[in-house]
Amino acid sequence: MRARKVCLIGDFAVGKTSLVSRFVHSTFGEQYLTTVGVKIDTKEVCLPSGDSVKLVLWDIAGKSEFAPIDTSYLRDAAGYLLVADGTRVETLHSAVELQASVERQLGRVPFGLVLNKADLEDRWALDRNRLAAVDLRGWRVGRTSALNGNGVETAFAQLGAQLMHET
Amino acid sequence: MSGGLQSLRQHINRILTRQTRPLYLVVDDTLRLVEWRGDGSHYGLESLQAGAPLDERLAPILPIDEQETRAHAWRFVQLAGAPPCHVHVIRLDGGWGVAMLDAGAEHAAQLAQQQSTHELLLLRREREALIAELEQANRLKSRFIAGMSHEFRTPLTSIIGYSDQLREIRPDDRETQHHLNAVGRGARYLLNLVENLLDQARSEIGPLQLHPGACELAEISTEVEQLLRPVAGQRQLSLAWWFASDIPARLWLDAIRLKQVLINLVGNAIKFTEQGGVNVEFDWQDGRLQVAVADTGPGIDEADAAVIFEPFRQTAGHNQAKGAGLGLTISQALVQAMGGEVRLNTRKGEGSRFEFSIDAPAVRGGRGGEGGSLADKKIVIADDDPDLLELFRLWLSSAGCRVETARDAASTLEIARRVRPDAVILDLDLGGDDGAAVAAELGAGERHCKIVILSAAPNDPANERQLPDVIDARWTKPISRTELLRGLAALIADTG
Repeated sequence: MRARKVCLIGDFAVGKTSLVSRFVHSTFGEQYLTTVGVKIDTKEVCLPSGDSVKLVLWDIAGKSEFAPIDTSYLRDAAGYLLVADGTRVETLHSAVELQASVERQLGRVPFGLVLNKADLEDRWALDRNRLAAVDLRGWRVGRTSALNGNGVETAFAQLGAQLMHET
Repeated sequence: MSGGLQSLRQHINRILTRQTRPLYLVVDDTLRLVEWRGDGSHYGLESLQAGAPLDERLAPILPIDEQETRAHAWRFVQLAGAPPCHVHVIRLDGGWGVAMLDAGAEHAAQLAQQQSTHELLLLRREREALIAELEQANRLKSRFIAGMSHEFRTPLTSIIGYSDQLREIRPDDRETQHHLNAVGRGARYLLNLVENLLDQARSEIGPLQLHPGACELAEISTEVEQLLRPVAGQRQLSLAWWFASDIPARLWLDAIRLKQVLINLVGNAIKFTEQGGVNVEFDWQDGRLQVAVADTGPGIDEADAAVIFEPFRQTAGHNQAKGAGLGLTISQALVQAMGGEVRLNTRKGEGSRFEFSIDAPAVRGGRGGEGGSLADKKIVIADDDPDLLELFRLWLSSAGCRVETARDAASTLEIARRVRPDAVILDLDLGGDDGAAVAAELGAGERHCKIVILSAAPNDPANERQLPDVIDARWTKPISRTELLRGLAALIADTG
């Protein structure tokens, strides 16, 4: 089984590390702990077709106003998952901007967008118009909660299926 | 000393090796391990074996393109259960060389700094979101207060207007006059309170609006005196008005706002003075009106004086303190809007003196058409409140006007077409109809009448409404009989 490199990209504190932790280890830490550099983990995903794909997940330190994303970590990625925090509208803007710059580097490879922290949906700052604007781009958009796990498997599995489909 | 440099290099290499615990890996082009040196388990790479495939987590650090010859370095790479390390990759003949160097100490330092930076950023964003939420709630509250204050104006117009009307009907009945005076004073006190609340709400939404015009200072002071003299009388206080001799007869200022400031300052002075009295002094110089309100009250201590213009403050130690605590705040805001600043001179036990000066250029010339007759003038007045409609009809009829009344848009337009009036006075809210739309229709085509808006909704950001430019005058309720007739006369009277 061939492993495929998938990068997780987004603003700091949107929950990239928590998503990986939920997906790979079925755990969730309440305390926010920033990522420096990149954390690498793997997980095999079974697809509806019966195939399996091994994802090598590169959880890259998030972007902040003081530190851009280190794009050298993106090299040779087969796909990527953009992560935004539903309670912070600016993280969605960031995800949209990041997608453009990642595409410039990697070309058109499979990717998805997840709006994380779905367990806090009553506090989301994303109105219908903003979400509709993302839909209009034709992106695959998922809602995830690293806290309770909702949508997490699906988001990674869908990206895995896209990766299999592309190769 | 021969070999000294070499010894030094060896020493440093030993230190660096101890600190960074390098692991060297050589893999072939199929990513199978050829050889290695160092402790693989330190980096989470257990049981390294020649010929075995490279750990799949590390595999992506090697370029897919075998022609890639550039050396590459990855900083702070962290595999599960291993310390963060820096990874260096070079191209070898038929394979790759990979070096892993422990970067735990460097990572820990950067992590601590980045963690505190991110936590601060998150706190700042939370605070900004909270502030935005509070500001929104405050705007809603201000709009609510503005809306409620507006609702107060219509019934207050009725109370003040009808008590004035009754006083005129029974001028010789002293007991009735006394009772009606009390009703009028109470209503005007309430009106001032409402005005203050409304202005406080307005000032939180946007700057206070002024509507300056030509007015007589004597009239303003007389109205304030009529309102407050009975209150001073009840407390056996003197209330004296002093005018410098060179104040022009007519000044250009917002009379309603100046009256509001005077009612607040003089009313406060009376409220807090136990014996003696209150002096109000006016002077005028270089286009500015100077006003002082001085009392023989208990004075204000330094701590209270420092915060006295802040909203909802009541000075400590006054058992008779009452009201909303907005009078001085609003007065300061109004005086500032009029180009001045209220200043307080006071000492505990020695009375208080509030002083301010405002822009008030002299107005040359007479009153124009104000003295003319309204006899036989045809007036249409439209208001959805039947009590107010009747009151305005009484006032206008008493001046000799021929009055027609209407309560909605259709009948207003029908009457206006039929009688061809000299003036149409419109409320903005005509039941479910829009008075501004009626004004626009009346003003379209050939104009034969003056159009006046008389509304309880003041022209402020909380009640923004685009009015058509056909309107000749805009007045705000409550309005007195004198104000109504004088305003109308200025628009349409025969001056002979």
